[in-house]
Amino acid sequence: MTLLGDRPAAAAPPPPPAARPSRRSWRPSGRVVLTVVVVAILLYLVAGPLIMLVGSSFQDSSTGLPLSAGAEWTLENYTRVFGNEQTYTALGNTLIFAGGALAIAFTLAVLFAWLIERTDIPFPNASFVLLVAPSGMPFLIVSIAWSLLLNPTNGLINQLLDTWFGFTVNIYSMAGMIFVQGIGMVPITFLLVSAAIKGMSSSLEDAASTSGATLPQTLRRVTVPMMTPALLGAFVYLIVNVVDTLDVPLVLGLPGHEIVLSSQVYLTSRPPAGLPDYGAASVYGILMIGMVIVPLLVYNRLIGRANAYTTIGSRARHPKKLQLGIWRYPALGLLGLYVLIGFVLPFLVLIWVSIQPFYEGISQAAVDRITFDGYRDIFSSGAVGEAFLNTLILGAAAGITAVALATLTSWLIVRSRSRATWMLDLLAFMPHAFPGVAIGLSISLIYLVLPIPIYGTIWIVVLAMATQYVSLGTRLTTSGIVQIQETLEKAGATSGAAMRTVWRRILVPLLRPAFVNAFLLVFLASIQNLTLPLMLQSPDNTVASTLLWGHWDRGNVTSAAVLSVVMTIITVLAAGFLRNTTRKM
Amino acid sequence: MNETREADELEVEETGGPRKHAIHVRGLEHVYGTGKKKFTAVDHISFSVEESRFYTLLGPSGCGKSTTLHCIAGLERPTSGEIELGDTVVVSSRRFVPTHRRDIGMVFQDYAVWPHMTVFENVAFPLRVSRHKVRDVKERVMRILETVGMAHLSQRRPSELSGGQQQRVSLARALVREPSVLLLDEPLSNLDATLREQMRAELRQIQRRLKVTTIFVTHDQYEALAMSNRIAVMRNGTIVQEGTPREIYREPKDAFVASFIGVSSFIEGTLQTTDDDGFGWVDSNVGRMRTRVSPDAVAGDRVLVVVRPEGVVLQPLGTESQENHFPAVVDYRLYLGGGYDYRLQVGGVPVRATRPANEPYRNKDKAVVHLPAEECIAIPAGEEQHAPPPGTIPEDPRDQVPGGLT
Ligand SMILES: Nc1ncnc2c1ncn2[C@@H]1O[C@H](COP(=O)(O)OP(=O)(O)OP(=O)(O)O)[C@@H](O)[C@H]1O
Ligand SMILES: [Mg+2]
Repeated sequence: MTLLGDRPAAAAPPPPPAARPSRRSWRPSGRVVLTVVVVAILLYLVAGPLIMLVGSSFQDSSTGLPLSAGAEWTLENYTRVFGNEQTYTALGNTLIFAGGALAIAFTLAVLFAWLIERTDIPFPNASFVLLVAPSGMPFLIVSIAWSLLLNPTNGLINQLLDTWFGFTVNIYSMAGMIFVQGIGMVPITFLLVSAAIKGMSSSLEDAASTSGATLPQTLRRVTVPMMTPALLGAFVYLIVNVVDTLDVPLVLGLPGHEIVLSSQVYLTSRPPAGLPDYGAASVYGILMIGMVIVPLLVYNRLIGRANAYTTIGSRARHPKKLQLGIWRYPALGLLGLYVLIGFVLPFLVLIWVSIQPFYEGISQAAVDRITFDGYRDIFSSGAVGEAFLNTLILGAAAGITAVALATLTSWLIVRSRSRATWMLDLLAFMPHAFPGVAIGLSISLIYLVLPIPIYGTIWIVVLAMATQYVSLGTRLTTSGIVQIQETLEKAGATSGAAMRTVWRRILVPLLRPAFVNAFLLVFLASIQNLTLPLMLQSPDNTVASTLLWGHWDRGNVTSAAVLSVVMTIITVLAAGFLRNTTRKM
Repeated sequence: MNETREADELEVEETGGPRKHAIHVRGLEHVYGTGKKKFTAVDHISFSVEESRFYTLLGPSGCGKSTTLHCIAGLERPTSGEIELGDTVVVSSRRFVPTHRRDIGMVFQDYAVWPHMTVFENVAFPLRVSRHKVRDVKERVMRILETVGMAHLSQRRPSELSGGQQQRVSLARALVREPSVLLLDEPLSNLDATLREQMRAELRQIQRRLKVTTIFVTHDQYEALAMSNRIAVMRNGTIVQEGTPREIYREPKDAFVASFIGVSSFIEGTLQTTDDDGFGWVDSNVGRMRTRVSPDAVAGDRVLVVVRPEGVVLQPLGTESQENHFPAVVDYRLYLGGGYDYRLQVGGVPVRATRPANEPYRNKDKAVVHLPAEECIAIPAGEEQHAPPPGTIPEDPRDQVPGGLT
């Protein structure tokens, strides 16, 4: 190619451009406006409740609502709570409960994940599906089922144990709570752990072994350190969940007088008799935040934000599978046993009880009593229809709100270099450390005080649910956006597309899988959630979970069982759908 | 394509002056971050690109080339300065036209071809989002795909294309709305050497055919020399030298430009006299020599004499007494296929020479090196040591085609 150069330098500068009608000198860019709006919404949703909680913990609310005209500032709530021996019992119980349940869940989940991903266990795919299926069964229902199986008076299994061996097991005990919670958490733990195992390219392990490392050395120096961040992440995520949970502590803890912090908040703010003690409840809520914030902060410090978002690489190569030999079928049997205990048995007992007019053991007389009246009653009741409609509204609205907000937040966190990023980061992270009972409590207080007429409607629950799940949503959408190269957006702008068009034609289509996934996850979590609807319950905003709890609490065992069966079928199908879309991505 | 352009121009001429597609950048500054993390990536640079010319921003990694380009595209908001595209001021203290309102087309280093659209849809996108309704979308898209040789693959998805094909799609997308300015951010750097050379030629041809004013960013000196009408050499956010490829190569302004563009040997010395014909005498480390003299150098200055390896001549012993002839030793030589790359010692100064394969000099041989005055230029030495010593110049061995540049 010949050079074209050798022309004289650019001639005299051209005349100044024709003056155009000058625009307004400066107007905020769309990005700035968006940042301000998103920060404002998050502040309202997240910081509002936190301020309310802290505020009401310093207020004497024995005579009325916190932060209202008559209330006075005081430290009395704190002295009362910390002078009460019950507080330390609840604190200790929470630690034991969380520790025990996590130990069970992790032991089983790591074992199962390793068996399915790294050994030649028979039917790995079917095993995977069966292991994950129980994640569709809400904890409330699992607890009810185990109460039916193992309560000391007429639990089905207890009846058998009594006749055969002359002893019974009491599920209304700390051990019972730990067992049910631990078994119930296996599927979600398994999902997190197996994702970590899968994401790890086996070539890294091969590199170790070709460097001369033995199998134990490889495990110790490569496999375990590489999996640590993911395992630690799963562990911290689950600590928050188990501290927060209200299902097992209500169904199994209350009858056995085993109180943990979450049930303590519930009982103090919505006592079965007498006035609510919002001040003390707020202090308990703050105590719970203190409990989960430490592991969360330690985790964030250790792993760093960037790493938490690293995406799981595609499985380039199937790793070598360990030959189990004669242990293949015993291993499968162990897995089967778990599926039996974790899902089949609870579901069967619920079906059985749902077709009985009243609850007793299994006998010829009971078989003769089989009736479907329970189902007929439930489906002909208007209250049930309304509750299911509310549940649907709740799931859809919370899902859409949380995902929309999460998407904007993630995009700003990932793409903008503005100074507001750390604030968005913090605001989106905070609900994660904000236990449901505390969110429920403070949001109910806010709308008791503020003149916004949503107290007692389903919308207050939607608001609380969106607040609760914006963290989860942000995590999912952030990893979605990180995978989209920024130049794809910039290319849109240089092609002449405005920001709106870039979102509509480029970002949204590319993010669709992440949206669907995040929406379904939030939807599923919302319809299973008992804590928030219960903390915000009123006659007009009953959802499926509070309806179910109401029947159980009042002793309508058959109705509770019928509802449990129906809800289990719905949520298991929804979960199956979710896993199916997730797997395709 | 050509015809439409001409038709366009005629039409415009009827209604007013000819369409101006020049680019003017004045006092452009861009600062990243705030407070302690403040970093001036572009420091008050100015340049102009004439209509339908190919202008290259060349410089080492991190010197602010992409930032400059992104400011022109509107992807970054400059801290200060003015930018004019065509006859529109797009950036000034009072005004900032957002990217999508600028009449530009841009090709990104990673192509940024949208994976959820077919080739056709990718290229049609700029027309479809245009503020003016475009009627003959299909025709125009197919025509531009034809131009880049991708028409037969218009229904493919990007995941089914090779790197070079994605690059063409990206180019077609940038050109389809016939922008007045084409911005290219290292579009060739992701391609392998052969494809890069081929695309280099094609890109230039297409640009010349469509007569679109182009700013091209690269850190590859050979690409810059081969393709550009004019080159601006950047360093630390400033333009060090601006000129035609020949000027930049033959008359580097300082040691940085000399060592960044092409391979150079440097000989230190003092400028003794300058003549009217642009030549002068330098008292150098290897001896007294006649060289061309840069206009920036004055008699008495410390200077560096820059010699390109293609200009160096090797001669048998016994010719030492002639002008600009010095005794030398062959340190070693590298075979380049077309010839040898000699590493010489001339009075303790390392000098490189590129010579045909048929010359007899071998490792450790003594010889006489002739540095023709026409091939040498004396430039001011400046405060700093001439940065990278010869031999450690960043270079891509694949591009070392001896003599291929003159
Ligand atoms: N977002 C940012 N924040 C802070 N500094 C930045 C940012 N983007 C770029 N820089 C810095 O600005 C300088 C110029 O960057 P730029 O991308 O323009 O370099 P470049 O000349 O294109 O380099 P390369 O050839 O490597 O692409 C670099 O030193 C870089 O570290
Ligand atoms: Mg760059």
